[in-house]
Amino acid sequence: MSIAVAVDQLSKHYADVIALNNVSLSINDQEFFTLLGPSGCGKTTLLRVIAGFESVSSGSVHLHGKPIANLPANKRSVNTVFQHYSLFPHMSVADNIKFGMQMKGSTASHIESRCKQMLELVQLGEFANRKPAQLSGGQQQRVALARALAPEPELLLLDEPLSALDLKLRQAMRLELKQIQQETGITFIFVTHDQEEALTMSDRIAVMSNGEVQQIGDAHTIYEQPRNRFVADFIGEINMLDCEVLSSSASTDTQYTVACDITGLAQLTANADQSVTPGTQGSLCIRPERLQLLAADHPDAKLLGTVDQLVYLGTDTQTTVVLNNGIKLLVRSSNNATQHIVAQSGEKIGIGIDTMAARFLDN
Amino acid sequence: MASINTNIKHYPGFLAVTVFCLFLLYAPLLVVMVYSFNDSLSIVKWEGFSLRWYHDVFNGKETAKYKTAAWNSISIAVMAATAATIIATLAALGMNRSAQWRGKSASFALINLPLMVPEIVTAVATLIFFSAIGFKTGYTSILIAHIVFCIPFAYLPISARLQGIESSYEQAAMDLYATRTQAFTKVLMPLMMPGIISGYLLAFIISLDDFIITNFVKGAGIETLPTAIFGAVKQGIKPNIMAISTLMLLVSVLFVCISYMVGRSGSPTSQNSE
Repeated sequence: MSIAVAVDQLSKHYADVIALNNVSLSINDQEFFTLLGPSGCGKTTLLRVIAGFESVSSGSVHLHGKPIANLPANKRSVNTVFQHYSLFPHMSVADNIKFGMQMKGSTASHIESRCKQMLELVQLGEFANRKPAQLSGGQQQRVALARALAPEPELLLLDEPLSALDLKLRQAMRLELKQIQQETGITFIFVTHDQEEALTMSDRIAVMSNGEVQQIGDAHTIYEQPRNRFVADFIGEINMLDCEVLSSSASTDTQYTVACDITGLAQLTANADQSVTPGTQGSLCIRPERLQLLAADHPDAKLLGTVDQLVYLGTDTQTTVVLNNGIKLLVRSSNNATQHIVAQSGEKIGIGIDTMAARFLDN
Repeated sequence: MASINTNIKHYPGFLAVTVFCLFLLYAPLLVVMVYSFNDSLSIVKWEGFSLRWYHDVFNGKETAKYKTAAWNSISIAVMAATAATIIATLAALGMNRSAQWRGKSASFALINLPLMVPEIVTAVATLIFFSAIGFKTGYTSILIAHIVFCIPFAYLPISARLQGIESSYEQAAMDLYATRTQAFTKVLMPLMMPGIISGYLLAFIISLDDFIITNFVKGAGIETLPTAIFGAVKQGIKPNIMAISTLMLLVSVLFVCISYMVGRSGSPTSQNSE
C-alpha cells in the first residue's frame, strides 16, 4: 500500500497560539482517514494546511511524494467539501460541478460526461439546472461532494460536512459517504468532533487535542486500547479508578499485564502497552459494558458497592454504582441477557470485571 | 394576540402623525407635479390640464440651454458614477478582504468622511483647492469633484454586500483550481454585483442632482441641470421649471426603484441560513 499523504513534523503558530505542534502522520492511498477531536484541537487547521488555505510555520506535507506545503491551493490536486458547502449561489448545480474541471482546463466533452456521471453518483440527475438555494440541506451536501470529486483529485478533504444535517440524514449520509469513497477509490480526510461518525466511517482515526496527535489507529484500537487518558475519556464512556502498580510482567511481545492496587478496595490486573515500574500511580480504565452486575456474595464479584441510579436506554440499562470508597462506577448491561440482574436502587451489589478489557494508563 | 400592545399601530395618534409627516414630505412634490400640467403661466392658479410646458421644455426658446445643461448633468453623472464605483469597489475589497493593517480604521473613517462633512465646506474647500493648484474650473473640475463626493455613496452598498459574502466562496473557487483573478471574476464579482449596481445607481443620482458643490466649482459659462434651474428660478418661477423638475423626479424615482430591486435579489448567504 502506497502512502498518499505524509505530514512530517508540522507546526503552525498564530501570533501567540500554537495550533499545530509537531504533527506527523501518514495516510495510505484509498484510505478513509478521520481527524477527530474537540473544537480547538487543531484538526481543522491541519485540514486547511493540507488544502492550502493556511501556510505552515515549520514541517512538510507530501502528496504522493511531492512536497505541497508551499503550493497555493489552486496548484494542489486536493479538493475540499466545506462545512457550509459554499456552493456558488449564482450558478446552477451542474455549473457548480463543472467549475473545477473548467478551471483545470479539461475538454468540454469530458466536462459534460463527467458532470453527468457525478450527478448520477450523488443521485441528483434531475436537479442539474436548479440553483443551490432551491435544494434541501442534504442535497446541497451532495452537490458539494460531487463538485469536489468531479476534477478527480488525488485527495478529498471533508470539513465536518455532516454537522449541518439533522440526525436521520446524517446517519444515512455516513453510509453513503463511505460507499462513495469505496466506489471512487479516492483518499478521504474527514474532520469531525463526532466520535460516532469517526467510528462508523473511518479506516483509521487520528485523535487530536491541543494541536497534537494523541493516537492513530482503527476504530477498534482507539476504543479498546486507548493510549492515554485523553483518548480513553474522549472516545465513549470509561470508568477510571485511581490505583498504584504492584508489579508488571510481559504477557505477549507487545502487551504487559499489570497488577494494580485500587486503593483500599481490591487488587486487579490490567493490560498496558509497556512495562510499568511498581509504585507508579495511574488509573485502571474500563468501559461500562465490560463490567457486570453480580450478587454481592457471588464468587466473581471483584468490587462491592451500592446501586445509585438506573437509566433505561432501550438496548442497554446503565447502572451507577457507588463503591465503598465513594467512587461512582458506570455499568452498562445489555437488556437481552436472560440472566442479568435487575438491580434496585439502594441495593448492595457486586461487580464482575472482564480483566482482559481493563487497561492501565499512567497519569 | 399577545403582541397587540407592542404593535406600533395601536399607539394613539400614530396614524395622524404618520399622515402629517407624509404630507409634509410629499405635498410640495405633488404640487410641483400637478402644476407642471397646468395650462397657464401662473404657478398658483389652476386653469386646466395641458402638456404645453413639457412641449415648451423640448421645443421652447430655452430648449437649447436646458439641453446642454441636461447633457452636462447626465454625462458627468455617468462618468462620475463609473469612476466612483470602480474606486469604491477596490476600496471595499481592500477594507473587507485583508488582514488588519495599520490605518485600516482611519481609512474607513476617511472613506466615509465626505458623508459627514457639511457639503458647503467641501464645496468651498474644493474650490480653494482648484484655484490653489491653478486648475481651470469647468467641465473637468465638476467631474473630478463629483467623482470624489460620489465615492462614499457607492462604497456603502458595495461594502455592505461584500461583508455578507463569506470568504469561503473564494476559497472554494481557488480550491477548485481557479486563480486569484478567476476567483474574483467568476465568483466574487457576480456575488457582489447587486451591491455594485446599487452603488452605481446611488452615485449616479447623487451626482445628477448635486447643486452646492457644482455651483462652486463649475466656473462661468457651464451649467448642469440643477444650476440651470436655480439660475432660472432666480428670475421668477415659470411652469416649465416644474415640468423639468417633474422629469428629474421621474428619473430619480426610476433609479431608486431599480437600485432597491437589485439590492433585494439573490442574497448570497440565503443558502446557508441555519
